[in-house]
Amino acid sequence: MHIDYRVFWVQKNGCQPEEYEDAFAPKEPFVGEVEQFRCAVCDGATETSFSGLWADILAQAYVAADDNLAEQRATWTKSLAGKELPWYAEQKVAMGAFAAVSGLAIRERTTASGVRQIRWSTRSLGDCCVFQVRGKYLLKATPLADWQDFNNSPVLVSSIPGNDSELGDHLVEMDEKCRRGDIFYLLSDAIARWFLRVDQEQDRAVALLESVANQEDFDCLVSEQRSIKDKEGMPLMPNDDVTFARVKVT
Amino acid sequence: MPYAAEISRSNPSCFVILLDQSCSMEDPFGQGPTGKRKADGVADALNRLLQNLSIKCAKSEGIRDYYHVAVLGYADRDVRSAFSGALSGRELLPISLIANSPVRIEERTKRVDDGAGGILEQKVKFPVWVEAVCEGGTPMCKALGRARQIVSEWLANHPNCFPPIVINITDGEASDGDPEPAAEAICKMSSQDGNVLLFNLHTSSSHHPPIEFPDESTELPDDYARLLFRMSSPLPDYMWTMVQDEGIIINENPRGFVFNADLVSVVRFLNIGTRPSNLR
Repeated sequence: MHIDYRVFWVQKNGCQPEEYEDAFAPKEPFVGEVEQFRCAVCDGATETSFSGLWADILAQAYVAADDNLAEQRATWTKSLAGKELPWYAEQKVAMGAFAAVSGLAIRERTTASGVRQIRWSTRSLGDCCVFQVRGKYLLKATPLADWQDFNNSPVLVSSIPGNDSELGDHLVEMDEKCRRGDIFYLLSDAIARWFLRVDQEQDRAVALLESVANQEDFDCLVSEQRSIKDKEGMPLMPNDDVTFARVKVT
Repeated sequence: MPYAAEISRSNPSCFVILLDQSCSMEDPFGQGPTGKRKADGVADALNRLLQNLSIKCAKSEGIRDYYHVAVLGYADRDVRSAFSGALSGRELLPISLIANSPVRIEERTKRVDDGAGGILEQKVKFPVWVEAVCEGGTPMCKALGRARQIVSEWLANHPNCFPPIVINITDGEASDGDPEPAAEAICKMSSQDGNVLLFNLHTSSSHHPPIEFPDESTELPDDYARLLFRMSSPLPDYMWTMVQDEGIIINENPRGFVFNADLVSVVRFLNIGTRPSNLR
């Protein structure tokens, strides 16, 4: 199968690019023939510190098919070891960092009956989303499919042990068939919520994201959508870090 | 929709805490197991609040100034900053400056679950900015007037901010007149996002249980309690859930007021009253 993978991102309005706390992997665009492709988008929680680092560790681990959470936590802890931190930073680190994660794996294989088949699967914890798009339409959405289901307290993966039993209960997995020509969007929460809302209310979310050809287009789209207010005066796209990974399968 | 403004470094919000430091704060709390002096308990709760706000605003690169905070003590005819040490005499300050300037960092013992059904004692750092003080009368009108000035200046510079929150912690009646007009003047001020909030926390040496977030004054025991009730803002919708999450049963239209607060309700009230969380 042929994969075309690109990622666009913008930090929160009022923040510097180095303060961006979403993460994605792979880091570089990819265009080429493969039998298997994996990518992930993660969202580090604003109210925790070193959450961008944690999000990055989770994204890289998904792409490497590494599901050893204990090892990922150890990597986060080791990255901070030896840093001279003031009392408040020390106490915040002790509380851990939190992140949402969604990973997508696409693989092509030959079935027992000799037919070439492409399947896609996802693993999600929290409110980063994966959308399957065919033509102009949204076909599947996971783990959330309604913009009103987003809230301020999604389940998140912690960089320190504590909520692990809860994680198992909230892990959302999907395994589906894919056709050549399908497009997948991996979106962090603010843009995922926006996408579902615009898809539902205006039926043009796919067209808007498909109009994005480069980072400049994406910057303009995000800036415009953040400035549009709904009836309650709230921005259509909440002011948050936004990440848009697009995977075209042909 | 009011009380929805994002709180960011370019659009910060502010808290003004007014602390009664009159001589009656020397008395112990009536409820609870500690028998701690109210002045000590409230100072601990305020230091814990400043600690929590500092941690909340801490990010990888340092502290983000989402909030500016003033703590004013009132006692003996005077209103002054309750900060000690390097911040002594200073009123409204960015949280980064506060976080980096405690008078001292004490080591205290905290009991934690050991994960195997037992309790472990753990040493924790406890920064101190505010010391317990108890002296003289209760110039509450003057304190509310100073809070109004601080908030008014703040709003002139931050017209779109999440509305400032003023929290008045007291155990007695004002000794300098009727505080209701000064409270009304605070509640009338607003940013584009809603009216300034004034919450009142009455600490008590009585053995009666606290009355938390009442919705009407008829259940309150005396005129003084009813006065503080009238001086308190209705809780905005976003705080209802927080109150309910703390296991407190409230009716419709609760006010930001606790009467006869024990130490547990002091900590809980400060936690709820300072938790606008739309941080960016």
